[in-house]
Amino acid sequence: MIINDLNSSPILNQINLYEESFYPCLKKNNRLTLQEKAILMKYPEERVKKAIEYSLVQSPRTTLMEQLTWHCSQPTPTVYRSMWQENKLEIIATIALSIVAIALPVFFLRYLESPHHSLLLDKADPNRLMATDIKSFNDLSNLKQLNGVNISIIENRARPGEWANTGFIGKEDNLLDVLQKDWKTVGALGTTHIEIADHLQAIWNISSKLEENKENPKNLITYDFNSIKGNTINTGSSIKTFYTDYSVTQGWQNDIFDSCITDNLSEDFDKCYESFNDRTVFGCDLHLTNPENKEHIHVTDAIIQYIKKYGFYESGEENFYSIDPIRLASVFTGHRYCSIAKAIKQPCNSKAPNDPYYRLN
Amino acid sequence: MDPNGKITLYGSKTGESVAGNSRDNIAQKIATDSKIQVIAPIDHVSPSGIQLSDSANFEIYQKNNSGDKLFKSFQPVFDKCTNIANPLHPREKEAIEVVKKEITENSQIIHPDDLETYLLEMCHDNPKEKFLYLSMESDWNGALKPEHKKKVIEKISSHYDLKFKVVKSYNEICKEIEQAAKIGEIVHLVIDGHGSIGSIDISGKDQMHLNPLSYNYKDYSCFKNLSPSTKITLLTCSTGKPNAHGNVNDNLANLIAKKTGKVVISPIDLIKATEIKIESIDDFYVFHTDKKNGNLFKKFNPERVDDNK
Repeated sequence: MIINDLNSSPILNQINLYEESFYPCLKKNNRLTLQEKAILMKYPEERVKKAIEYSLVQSPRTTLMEQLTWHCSQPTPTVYRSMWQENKLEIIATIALSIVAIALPVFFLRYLESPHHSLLLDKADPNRLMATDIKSFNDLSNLKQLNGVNISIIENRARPGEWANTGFIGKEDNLLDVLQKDWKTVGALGTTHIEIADHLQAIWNISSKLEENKENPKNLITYDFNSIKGNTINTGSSIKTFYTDYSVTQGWQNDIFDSCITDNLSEDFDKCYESFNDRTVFGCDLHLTNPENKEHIHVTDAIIQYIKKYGFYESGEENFYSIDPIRLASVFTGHRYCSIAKAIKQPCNSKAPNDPYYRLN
Repeated sequence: MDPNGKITLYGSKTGESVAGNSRDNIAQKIATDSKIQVIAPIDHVSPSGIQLSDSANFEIYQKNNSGDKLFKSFQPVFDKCTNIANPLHPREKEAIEVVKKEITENSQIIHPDDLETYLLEMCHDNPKEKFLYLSMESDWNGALKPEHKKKVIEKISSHYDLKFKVVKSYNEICKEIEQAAKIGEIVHLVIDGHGSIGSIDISGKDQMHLNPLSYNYKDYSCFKNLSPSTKITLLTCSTGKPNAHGNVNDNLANLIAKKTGKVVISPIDLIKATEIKIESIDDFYVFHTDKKNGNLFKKFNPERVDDNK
């Protein structure tokens, strides 16, 4: 080898004498020995300079000296091209495919989980008619009475053990707070109480016509959300299946918003009405379950009216007739409760009241 | 013989129609004379082909080559009966259809049209115990439709001499009790309607009310026509419900028990029409459970109110 020969060469000192005459790029290079520098002096300065520059960006595969001599002996100086520069298209394609491969399933899952695509959160229109008897959030904040009955009277009727054992609101609940909370939730979900009530009523109409099915006690029904004009729920995949369990009771529930009796102390409807049949009474039930996520709500004929008129979903930990709007959205869409709660920035801590009449579990 | 028993004839063609008359045969004659139901074949039977379909009730069957059941049920014919109100209330018609369907599915009754008589009349010459089933006219949600209680009504109709009647007022209730009592001792009275802790709705306008100040408060004096042992069952929501203070005797069931001197069976909470089942047909006891209370039907004893638990 030349270098070895030089290392052992008696002329070494002679080369040293010439160090002062090395190319500037070699003089200040600390990575090379004097002998190596002397050898590189046989190549033109420009080539050596380029070879050194190349070595700074491209690590040598063997030794630095071998790389430099190889570089200088090439017919034209080899220009450094990074892996990026060398395989630009290939890399772009690989990265793009990787992104697609990783991100698409994640995105797809999140999309499925997210209620955005079905409950149009981003299309919530604050000017939409929310309910028939309380038209807007503004009306709700100024509420003093409903159906001509003072809120305090309705609130008393709604307490557990008053007009219903389970009550329509919790022991300590304030009716206006209950309304505000559920109005905000439904507003965040991007729909209206009217639309929710219309869907519930349509599902109710199908379920109530079913005969008791011995073969299929769960009474599986199919419902098309697009059957309601202007539907904004499940628009992408509007046909859903539900388990339904409809029943009629041999009693009746008086309407807490009944305006015939305005004195809460009196419960004598006889004085108000010519006949029982003139009154608004309730007493039919529908258990609605989404087989996809097993979420369930207990719907009554009363609550459909209350939702549509007032956006009232009832409340109370023991009140199994109350409906959590998030759970309702979960039943409607098949999405998990927590996914919907998360999407509208609400906590995922709601527990459904224990329903003694639920038969499908 | 027990009026609820039945006679089974194995002889071929003992139930055969003669000249198209399905009543002119030995099976019908035995049923009519004995006042007992008769099961008999309408054609040839093969002794080795007779099979038992229900050993508890001794139901036998054999099918012919066309797959038709050969053994039919021949009902007794009674002639000392009350008259059927005419025109029939739609719910009475529905009750007949429901029972007809139910019986035909099980027993292949030979004259299903006779059910109108069996279901809507009581007969002096029917040895079965008398059962008065009064359905209140007011039914705002369809819960009183016989379809919802078809098993209950069918069982009662096959075990008792049943009169099923839709009533429009308290006076009609009294009239039905009075008429039925003339036929025989009423062992059971059912009041099927919509109820609450303090009321039963009869017609929308007419009610039975717990509150003595209400003009719908009744004295139940006509219930004295029932026998001392008559049991009254209220198929009405919550009429036996404890009041807001937990008092189990402050309700309409207890009032009726006290006023009539009869044992009253009533639910203590909400009941659903389709969930009512018969626990015992012999002494007619019903049940309806929910996950919270178990059987919702409780007994209200007129003598000792403390027992009403």
